[in-house]
Amino acid sequence: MECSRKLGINNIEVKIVHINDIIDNPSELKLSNILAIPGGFSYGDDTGAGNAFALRIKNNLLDEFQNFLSQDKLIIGICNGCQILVKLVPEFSNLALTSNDIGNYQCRWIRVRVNPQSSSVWLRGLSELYLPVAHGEGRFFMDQDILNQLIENNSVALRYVDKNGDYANLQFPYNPNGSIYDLAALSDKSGRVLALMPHPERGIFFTQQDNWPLEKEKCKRSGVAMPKYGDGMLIFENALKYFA
Amino acid sequence: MSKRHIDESVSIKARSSKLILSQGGFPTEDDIKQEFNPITEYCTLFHKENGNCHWKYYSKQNTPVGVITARDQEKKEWIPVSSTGMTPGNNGAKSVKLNVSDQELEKISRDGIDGNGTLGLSLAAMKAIKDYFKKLGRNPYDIELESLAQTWSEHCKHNIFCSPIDEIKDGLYAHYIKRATREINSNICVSVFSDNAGGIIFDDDYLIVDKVETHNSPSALDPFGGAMTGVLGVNRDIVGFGKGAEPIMNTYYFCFAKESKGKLYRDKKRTDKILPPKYIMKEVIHGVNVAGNCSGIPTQLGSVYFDDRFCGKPLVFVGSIGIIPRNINNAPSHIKEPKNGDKIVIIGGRVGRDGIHGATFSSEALSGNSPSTIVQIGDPITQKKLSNAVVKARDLGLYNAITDNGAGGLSSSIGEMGKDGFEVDLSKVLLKNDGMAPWEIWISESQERMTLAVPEENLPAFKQIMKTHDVEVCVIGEFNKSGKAVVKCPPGEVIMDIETEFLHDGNPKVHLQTKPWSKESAVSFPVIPVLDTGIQQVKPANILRQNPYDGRAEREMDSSLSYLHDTFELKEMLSRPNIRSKEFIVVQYDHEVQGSSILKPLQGKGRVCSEAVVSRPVLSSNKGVVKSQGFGSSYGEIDTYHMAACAIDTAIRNYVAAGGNINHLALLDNFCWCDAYNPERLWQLKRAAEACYDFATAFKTPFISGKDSMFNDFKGYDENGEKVMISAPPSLLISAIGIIDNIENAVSLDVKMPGDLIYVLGTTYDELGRSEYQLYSGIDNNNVPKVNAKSARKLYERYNQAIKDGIIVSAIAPNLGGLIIALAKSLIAGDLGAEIDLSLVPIGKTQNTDIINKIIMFSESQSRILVTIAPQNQRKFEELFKGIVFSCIGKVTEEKALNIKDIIRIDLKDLGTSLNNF
Repeated sequence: MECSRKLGINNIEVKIVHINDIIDNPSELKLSNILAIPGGFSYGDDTGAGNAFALRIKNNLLDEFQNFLSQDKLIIGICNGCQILVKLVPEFSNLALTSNDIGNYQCRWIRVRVNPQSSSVWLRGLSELYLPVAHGEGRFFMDQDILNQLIENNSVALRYVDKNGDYANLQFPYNPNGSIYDLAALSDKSGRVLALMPHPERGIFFTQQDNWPLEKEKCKRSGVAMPKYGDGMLIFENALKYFA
Repeated sequence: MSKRHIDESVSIKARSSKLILSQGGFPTEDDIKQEFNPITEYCTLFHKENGNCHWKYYSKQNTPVGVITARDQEKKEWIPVSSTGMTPGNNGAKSVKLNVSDQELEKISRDGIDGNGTLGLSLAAMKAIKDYFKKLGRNPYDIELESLAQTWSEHCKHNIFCSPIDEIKDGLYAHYIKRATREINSNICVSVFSDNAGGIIFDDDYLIVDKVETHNSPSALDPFGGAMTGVLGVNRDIVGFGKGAEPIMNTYYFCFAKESKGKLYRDKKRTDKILPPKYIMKEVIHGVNVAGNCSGIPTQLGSVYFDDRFCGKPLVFVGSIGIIPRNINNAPSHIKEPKNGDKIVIIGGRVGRDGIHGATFSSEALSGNSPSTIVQIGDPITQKKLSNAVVKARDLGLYNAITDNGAGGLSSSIGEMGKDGFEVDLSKVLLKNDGMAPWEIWISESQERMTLAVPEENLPAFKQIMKTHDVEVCVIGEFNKSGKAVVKCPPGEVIMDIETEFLHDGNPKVHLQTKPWSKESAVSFPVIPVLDTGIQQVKPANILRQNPYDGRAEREMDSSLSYLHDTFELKEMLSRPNIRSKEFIVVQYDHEVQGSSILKPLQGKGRVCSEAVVSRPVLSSNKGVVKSQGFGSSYGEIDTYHMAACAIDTAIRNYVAAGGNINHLALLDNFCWCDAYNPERLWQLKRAAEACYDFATAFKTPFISGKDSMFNDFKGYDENGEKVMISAPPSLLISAIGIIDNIENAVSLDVKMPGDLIYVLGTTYDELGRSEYQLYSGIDNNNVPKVNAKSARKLYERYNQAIKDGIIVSAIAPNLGGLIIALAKSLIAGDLGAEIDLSLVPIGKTQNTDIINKIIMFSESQSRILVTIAPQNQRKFEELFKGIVFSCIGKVTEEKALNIKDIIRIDLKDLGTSLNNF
């Protein structure tokens, strides 16, 4: 929902399409340039986060999805969408998103740093971002050699950092889920697919940030206007620029 | 799961299990028993010894080893659930003989027809039914009796709130609550008291609607299921508002016992122990989590209140706010009515045996007879699909009316919609259980269902939309103008045929009488007996032991000791269960989904829980929804009138402090009472309702919706097998809902800049009676806070102006714990210190001059706001508040400590540790 509002902001046609409608009418996918799989407990996460939705695509839309992947088009998977993408994109196999090490669901704002070597289209020109996370299963987990491979391929897109901008080093709450290597997002080699646990679509406006009242006061006292947009907007702007 | 993947010829038995991982040593049996709820779950323990495998089985009746096998037990206790091909039972409807003695009638009402569960009808009601059927010249069928019992139940008819009481002929609800709204005649009100939720204007294009429910009895028996279905149910109230609104925010308020002193049982044999308070709390929190998070609805506001008298019955308030276009297909969206000939259509989940007698059960206290099947089983996924589908059908104008299936099931929803008449064929209803009797189908409270009135010509299009969204549909009858409620099952065989007028208005009115509540039965300190149960509440003696200086000794103490004592007290106050941080709950609830959250449930760097939130439901508009709560309970021990007044002021000042517009504000009332046939409890209720009228009209804030729950009592046995009754204290939750014109003007509670000035708005009085400080210290004081609505309203109006002018930097409404607790919270949130002087705080007259500093710090006087402003705005601020009581009491400091002149100096870190000590 909020995901569509965000993409729709700059006169881009956005459609919310139910997975069942795409299955009935796969051409929707062919006509689109950007596929966003949003967050939101698809099928209640009842068989593990994202599993049911990923299977639904695998069983009904695998060809269309792979087609989309192979073309010069963009895909973003946010939170639940990220959990779904890691089950669908071949490059992300051999890794899992498991339960937060703190033992329960976490809804909070965090800082992430963009890997400067990342080729992600979505993250061009960005360095540090302030975004919310809201998940129970957001901890990237994999063998060390798989991780090494991801690092080597520059698939690491975002990593959690502390308030000073240093890597969180697994420390809660900066790394909210105990994710290995402070991983918050992965990109594929082409840079066109981004799978991220934080929610850029909930950080579009500055007043969505949890610290906006303080930042507004700071701006006021130094005589500058409060920014209108938050960091999440930058990610979507990058996607639109790609097709501009 | 889509139907396409199910082989429909195979019947599936579904069951789930849970895996609990723990650290440390091997748990004892008692530890394990704390982790499951014998009413809804069973537990089998296996262990290996000498190569043999031993097992023990636990369920509702604590079965000894190996006597009953799991398989046999299962048949008795567990309802098999399968998915296809379900048909009603062959038995059909049974005729019930009512031509019997009064004693027999009472027995039928108490034990149910053939012992099928309580009808909860009074003798007068049973006699009215007997007379009605005598007139018809036949005996009623079971389904007719069940239908009347459900329609006339406390839950659905609110008998106590609506009956004549003392000199008030029209009843408390009409006389105090509805009349207040009528007299205020506010132009923001669009739909009040008539629909599933109340609706007010948001802007030119939208309405916001709000509803708060309680789910107390189900949560006592099955805390997870009870809380979850509570949230799902209140969200369906939103979906069922007008032509169908969309939920945008969930709220909660929980009342738990911290611990239950002594063991309590539901039965005399002492085999059926009540659930431990810790378990109830954990499961209720989890239930709300699953319901809200899985539905994509942000849970943004809530809190928890502890009182050990909630050990038998917790209070679980759950609220939902929704949004709906003001006009849909060129017609006002809040108006709906089935047309003659419209088809009765049920969509969503199927009907099963879960949740039978939930409504009639609300007329009773919890006791050993309470059936566990009254608790419904929730399923957020089905509901999510359902809500999406409803909005699609709504925008195409495919139906004329919609309502939710909650308490009373089809009997209630169809009965309410079909006031002019209807005819139903129950064999058309889709079932999840085999062999259900017609009356069970009719009153089952299985969840995730809506009832709609769909014109026949729209049925194909309607069904198509439901199919796309994987929502099941069944057409079970027709609305008509016959004035009769007719039900058939099997087809062609009439098993219910009564006039709708009798169904809705046949319940004989009882004239209730009250008797003043005597303070003797209220509290005395330092130990509070809870009625005659011998269970003791709060005031743990060990605090006194740790803290050798009581109030009287204070004057004799030298200053350094007094200093230590005050610091110690402040820290202990911050750690009290009702004051300390509830962050661990807030972070488990997704409050960011939908991207609407502006002022959040946790505020500032120090992440302090707020008591008001701001949400921006329409991202293209700068308007926001402001929502807050005010809970009254403790002051009711002295006077429920002031308790209610304070609850109203608390909700309003929380709302106003965050930036809410006082002129665009509506209230919701949720009464949770106890033992409501007791004239003294009724007197308390009358006092509270009277205050609702007095203060709503004085503040000009109309009530738009409300609910009451009258029997929050536990009736059972103590460890000696003696009968006990534990009544939850009379409580009132007031919710405020309104708007802020520009969300950028919203003000958070954290102090922001060193050097900013700290102001108190409003007067502090000698009002420590039933305050958190009194409960902590045992200090003698019977003055509960009182509200002066006239001066408060003036203060709030000026404050609104200050918000518009943008000169308030931070604001917090002092609540439980008083002024100093509010200041500590603001400082912790802002991660900054302060220097203040208590002698600058404006106070009212007091005789207790020896405890003046305690009064200033901890009195819970109402209608005050603690704010900080930039020094350069001092003149403007003081000008604006001319004629209002206010005072500058200090300033924010870079040094991270709270300095109270001559009294306390404490590091911010220590304050934070105390507040966050959960």
